[in-house]
Amino acid sequence: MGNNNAQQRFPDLAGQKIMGCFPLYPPSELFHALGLTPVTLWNLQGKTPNLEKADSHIQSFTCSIARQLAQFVLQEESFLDGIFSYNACDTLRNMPEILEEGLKAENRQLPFFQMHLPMVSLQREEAREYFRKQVSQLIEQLEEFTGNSLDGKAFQQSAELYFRLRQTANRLGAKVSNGKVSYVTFTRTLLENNFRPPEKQLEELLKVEKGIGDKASESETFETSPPGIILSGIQAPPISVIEAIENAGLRVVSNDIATQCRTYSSQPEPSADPLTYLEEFYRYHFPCSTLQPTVEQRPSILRRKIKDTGAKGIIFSGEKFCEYEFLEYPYLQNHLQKEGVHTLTLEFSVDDYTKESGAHQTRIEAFAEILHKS
Amino acid sequence: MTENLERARKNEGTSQVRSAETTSTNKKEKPEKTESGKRLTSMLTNQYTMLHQKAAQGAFVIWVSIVVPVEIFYGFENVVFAVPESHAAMTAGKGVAPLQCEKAENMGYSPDICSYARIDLGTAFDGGKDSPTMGLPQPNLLISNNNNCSLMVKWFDVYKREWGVPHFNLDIPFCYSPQTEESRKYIQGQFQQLIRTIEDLSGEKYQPEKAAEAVYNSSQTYACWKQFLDFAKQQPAGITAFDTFVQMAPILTSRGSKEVVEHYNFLLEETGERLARGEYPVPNERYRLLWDNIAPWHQLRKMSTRLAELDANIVTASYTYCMGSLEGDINLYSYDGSEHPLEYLARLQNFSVCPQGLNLRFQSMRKAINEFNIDGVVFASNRSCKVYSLMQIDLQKKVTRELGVPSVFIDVDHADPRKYSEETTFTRLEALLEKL
Repeated sequence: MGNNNAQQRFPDLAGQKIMGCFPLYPPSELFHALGLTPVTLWNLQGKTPNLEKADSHIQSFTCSIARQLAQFVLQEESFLDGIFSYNACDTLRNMPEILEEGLKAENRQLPFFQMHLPMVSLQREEAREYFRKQVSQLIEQLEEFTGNSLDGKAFQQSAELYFRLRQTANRLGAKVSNGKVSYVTFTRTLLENNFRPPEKQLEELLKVEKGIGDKASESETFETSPPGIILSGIQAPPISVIEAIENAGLRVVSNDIATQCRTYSSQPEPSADPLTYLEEFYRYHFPCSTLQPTVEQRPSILRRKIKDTGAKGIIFSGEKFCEYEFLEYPYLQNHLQKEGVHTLTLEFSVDDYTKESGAHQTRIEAFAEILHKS
Repeated sequence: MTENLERARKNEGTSQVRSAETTSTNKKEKPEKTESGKRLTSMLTNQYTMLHQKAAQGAFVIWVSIVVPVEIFYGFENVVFAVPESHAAMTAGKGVAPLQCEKAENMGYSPDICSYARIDLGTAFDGGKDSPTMGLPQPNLLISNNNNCSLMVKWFDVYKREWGVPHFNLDIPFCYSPQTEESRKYIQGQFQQLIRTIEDLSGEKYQPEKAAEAVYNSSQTYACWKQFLDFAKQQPAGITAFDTFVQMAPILTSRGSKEVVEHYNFLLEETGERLARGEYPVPNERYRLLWDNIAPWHQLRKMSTRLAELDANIVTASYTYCMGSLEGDINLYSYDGSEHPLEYLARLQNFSVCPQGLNLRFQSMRKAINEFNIDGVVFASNRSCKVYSLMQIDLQKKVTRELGVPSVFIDVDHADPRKYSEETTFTRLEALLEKL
C-alpha cells in the first residue's frame, strides 16, 4: 500500500503489500505465505461514496458486489499492489480487463493474476490435474511478483493462522445461535475485519469473544424466546435491515451467508503442500451457489441448521442480479415450505446498502407475525 | 439524411426491404418467403417433429447448451438432442415469450434472470404448453457448459433437482488470450469423459467414425456459413445481419448432419442468383452497421424494416460472425481431417463471443469493421445476457478511440419484449445515423 492517504484510510494495513482479491473464496493462505496481505474486495459498504467510476465501465444491471468492487479499485489510488481474480461467476470473470481499461484511462496499472477454478468436481481426474497446474502457474507468477519463494513451512503457518481465524469466527457464530451475541454485532465485527490483516482479524475476533465471556444469553432477557430465523445468501442484509428483523421480534440464530458462514465454516487440515491443501479447500468447501460441485449439499445444510437451531424460518437475502442465487431460491423455498419452514425472499440492490430506505420493513413485520403465530 | 429520417418516422418509406428470408417489398404486406426461407421452416419443423417422435419411441434424449459439441451424439444410433436456448429464441420470435416468462416468474424465478432461462423454465414446467414446438421431450441427460455462460449450468441444475435427471457440465476455461494447449487437452479429456457417460447412461456403444463424419459435416457447414456472411461485404450488402440471425438456426439445432450442409449450399446458390439479378435487401444502402450482441428475436422484422427505410443496413453481427472461427478472429478455422475430430471440437469451444476477453473481442470486431467496411457499431446492451454485455462500455471506448468508428448504445433484451422500447431504440439509432 503506497501513499499516506491510503494508509490513513486503512491504518491496519499500513506498510503491507496488498493483494486485492475478487470474491468469493480466494486462496488467501497462498498470498499470505508469500508475504502479501490478501483483502477480499467485498463488504465495501461505506467505502465507495458513489459509483461514478464504476458506472462508466459496467452497466447498472450488475450486482452491488461487482459495482462496488469496480468503484473501489478505480477510486483507491495506491491502496492495492495487485489484483487476483477467478471465475466465480459470469460477471466477475468479465471484470479483470474492464478494470485494466479503467486503470489505463487514469494512467494507472496494476498486476493482475488469474486462476481458472473448474466448475466441476475436482474428483474428476482431468479437472484435478488442470486445477493443480493452474495453482502451480499462479505460484510461479506470485513468486516472480514478490521475489519470494514459496516455502512449505511458511504456507503451513499461514494455513494454521487462517484455520484459527475461521475457527474463532465459527465459535462466535455459535454464540449468535445461543443468543450470547447479537447478529448485528457479529456482522459489524466481520465487516470491520475485512480491511485488516489476518493476524489482526484474529485478535479482534478473540477480543469480541472474550468480551462476551459467560454473559447470560440475550434471549434469557425475553419472557419468551423470540422465533429464530436463518439468513441465507451472498451478503448479509444491510445493517438497517438486520435491525428491522430484530426489532420485529425475530432473532437471527444462524446464517448461510457467503461473506460469513460460507467463508469460515470449512477448511482442510493445515499442511505444507499448497496444491493438496487448495485442492481440498475447494473440493470440500462449505456449499455455495458459486461453487457448483457443492450446491447439492445446500438444502441438507439448511435443513441441518434448522434442526440444530430450532429456527422457524429462513430469510433469503437476495443480491439483486445474482442469477446464481435467484435460480436456486424457488427450489429451496418450495421444498422447505413443504417441510413446514417459513421462507421470505428479500432483494437488495446497491442502493439498499448505501441508503436507508425502510422498503423491506413491512414484509419483515408481516413475516414476523406469521412466525409468532406459528 | 434528415429527410430520410422524417420519411421513416412518418412510415412512408419506399425503400425495397428485401431480406434473404422475404421477397416482399412492402412492409405492410405479409412478406413472401424465399425458397431457402421455406426450406428452413420445413427443416426446423421436421426436426422438432422427429425429435418428439424419436423420444416417444424411446430414443435417449439430451438437452444441451448451444456450444456443446453435438457432433459427438452422431456417434450413437439412438441418441437425439434438443437445444433449449434455440427453442427459447424461436418462442421469442413467435411472440410467446412474455407468456412463458410470466409462468416462470409466477413460480418464483426472478425477472432479472436471463429471458431464455425464464422461457425455458416456464415452458418445461407447464408441459410444453403454448410452445411453438410443443416444448421439448423430457431429457435423459442434461449437458451444459460454462463457456457461453455459467448461468446455463445453474439453469440446467434446476431440472436436475426437480426431475432427477443427470447433469454433465463441460468446464471450459475463459479466454483472456487465445486458448492454450493445456486448456485444449483439458477440454478434450472432458469430451472423452462425456462419451463414457453417454455410453453408460444410454447403454449404447460410441462409434467414433460416425462422429468424425459429423465433425466433417460441421466443418463444411461453417465453411458455407462464412461464404454466406461474405455476401455482406459487397456494397450494397447482399444480405443483412437479420438474415444471418434467421439462418443460423440449423447450426445450433442440427449441425453435424448432411442436410444442414445441403441447406447452406442451397442458400449460397439462391443468394448468389438473387444478387446476380441485382436484388439487394437495402438497395439504397448508405449506412453499414455492425450489431454487437444476441439477436433481438422479438424485433427482427420490425427493426430490419425500419432500418431499411432509413437506408441503413446492419450488415454483420458479432453474434454470427464468430461461428466457425477461433477466438479473436472472424475467418474460418478450417478442418482438413488431419486433426483428431475431438481436438478440432475442443479448439473451437471458445468460438462464441462470450467466453472471450475484451481484447480478443476487440480484435475480431476490428477485423469485422475493416472487412465489412462498417460505418457505425450498434452496441445492444442486453439485460438478459450480462456475459455478452458487460464489456461493451469499454469495447465501445476502444472502437471510438482506436478505430474512430461512431457507435451507439441501445438497451435490449434478446427474448423478453417487455424490457424493450422500440421508440427509445430508434431515437438512438437515428441519432447515430445523423452522426454518420
